[in-house]
Amino acid sequence: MVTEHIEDSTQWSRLSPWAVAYHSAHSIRKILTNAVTLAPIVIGITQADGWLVPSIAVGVGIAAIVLHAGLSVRRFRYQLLDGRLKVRQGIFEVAQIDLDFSRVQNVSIINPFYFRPLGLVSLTIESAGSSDEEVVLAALRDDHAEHIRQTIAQSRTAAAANTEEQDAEVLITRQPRDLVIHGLSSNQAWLVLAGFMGVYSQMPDAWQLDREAFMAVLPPGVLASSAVQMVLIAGILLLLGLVIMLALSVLASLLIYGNFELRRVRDGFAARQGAISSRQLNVRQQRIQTVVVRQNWIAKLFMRFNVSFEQISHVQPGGETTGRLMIPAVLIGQSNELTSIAMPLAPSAITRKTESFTKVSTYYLRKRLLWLGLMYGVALVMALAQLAAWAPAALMGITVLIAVAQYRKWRLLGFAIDGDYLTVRSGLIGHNYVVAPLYKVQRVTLEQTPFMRRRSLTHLRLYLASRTVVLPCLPEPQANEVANYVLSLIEARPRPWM
Amino acid sequence: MAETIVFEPLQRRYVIARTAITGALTLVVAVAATATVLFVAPETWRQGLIAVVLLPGMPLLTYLSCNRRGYALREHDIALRKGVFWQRQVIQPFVRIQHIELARGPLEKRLELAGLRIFSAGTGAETMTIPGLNLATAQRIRSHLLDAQNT
Repeated sequence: MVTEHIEDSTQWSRLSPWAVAYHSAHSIRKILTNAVTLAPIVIGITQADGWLVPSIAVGVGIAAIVLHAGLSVRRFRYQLLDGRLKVRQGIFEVAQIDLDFSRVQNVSIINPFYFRPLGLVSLTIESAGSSDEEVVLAALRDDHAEHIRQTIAQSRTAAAANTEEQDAEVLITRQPRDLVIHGLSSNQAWLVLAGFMGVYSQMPDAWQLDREAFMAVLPPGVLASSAVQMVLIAGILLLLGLVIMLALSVLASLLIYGNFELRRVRDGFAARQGAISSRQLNVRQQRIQTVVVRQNWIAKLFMRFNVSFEQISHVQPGGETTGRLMIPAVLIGQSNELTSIAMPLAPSAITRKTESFTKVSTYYLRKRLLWLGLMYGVALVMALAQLAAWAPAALMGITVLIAVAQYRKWRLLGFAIDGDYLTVRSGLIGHNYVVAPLYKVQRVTLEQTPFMRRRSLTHLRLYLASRTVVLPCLPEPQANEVANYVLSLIEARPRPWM
Repeated sequence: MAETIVFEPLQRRYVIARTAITGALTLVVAVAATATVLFVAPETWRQGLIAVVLLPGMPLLTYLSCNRRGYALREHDIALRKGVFWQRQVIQPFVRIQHIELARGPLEKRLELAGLRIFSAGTGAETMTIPGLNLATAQRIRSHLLDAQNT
């Protein structure tokens, strides 16, 4: 250990000064990712006072962040003991965390680009207990970080003597081609766009599109054009926006999941991802609570699925959930294979014929169609009173489309129980699957509205540590049967759920 | 299960006390609102006083809700029934209980009552709250749950 000082008396280790860079960058990134909401205010300020005041404000802000990072790194102490990690942190209020390795959920090694030349990495240790117990050891020498990671991995599996994970079997890698598909089929760009809209509306007028200049760009006579031409132009603009959004989403996917590689290690999975800053994620097999296989309409075009292994979820203040390992854009066979590796006794093919899934009551469909009918009625009255002659026809078309969509949703919704495992299928165009080991269910609820009571129907909810699985509108005897089966699995032969 | 579980009702005095408290609160709000309308607000507002006929609904709802709430301690799990219109049953297996809290507010202390809050993993919020138990019953259930958890 070159970079760490060791105090003789207490054996506490300290972090390298480079950790300040990591913590500062982390804080700034956190502020920037939340900044979309702050941006309008910031722009409002810049508008008022030229550039001097804002640049001073930004300078002071960055200085404060670096100072904070410096102080917290100076105060930070950690101690690697037999089977646990002791951490002392906090600037004014010092908190001591005693993290037992048996409670560790994830260990990730983060390798930001600015640490590459220095041979440093950051080690993030997440506890299964609570999100407060996350420990970040920033700017460790990479061999030291690897040593800690292996120590944790070994103490979690007592018998493990030498887990050479470099030799571990590579399950799947993702090429840029796959990531492009993932980017197209995951619509994170909506968020980016919403942020831009907020920023744009607050920009000084000079920056906003000058309406007259905009009109001048348009071909002459556009204002005199017919409604059809207007619709066409609007359509083209919309398409352009969509293309930009998809491009953003693809870019995000390439950055986040670049060089993706999933390896099978002895007690679970290890994933490495990230084009610029690589990140290593370890997930223990036993900790996996649900496997979710998702496919939206774009993914359906490419016949791909996004598979995630979900663990205990702590919903972070920022809204992002931790404890999820996502394998982007895999083929149907691969998703079946991954599921069966993650849950060894699960039914081999989650993607089965429709007949093998139990459908929910038609009440699910009837309720939605009834509401749709009511809304159609109201809208029709309004359309007849106010709008042009073609409006009722358009309304009819839209209503029929929604009705067909609802019917398809109901047809796809179904569940199947095989031994210890529940598979729920849902979807509209693509198919989504949730596979859950029933013996890991935390609790069960049955719920009825007055209308459902009259028809003897019940919603059944199964709460897992990672998510809640809902089986809506089941006939009461069936709901009771499933609930009793789940309870018997949990109670008769208690098995560890994490 | 729904038909086989026999639910224990909450303590009668808890149900009555809760109803009385809601009634009293409703009355205070009603008196304050009526006084404001009569003496401060413009006269056209007085027709709105008809809404007062709805007020007995509040204590009634409280009564129905407390009366409907019940628990069942079974061999391997504990069940709670609640809800007047949206009726719900929550079933929590002993082996999945994370921790238990005994909750006693001023009302509970005065009436020798206690509430039990039971937590399972995965969500921050509690799985179920069983209010209005006799203190001794609550303590007995708690130790029973703790024992069952450890076996």
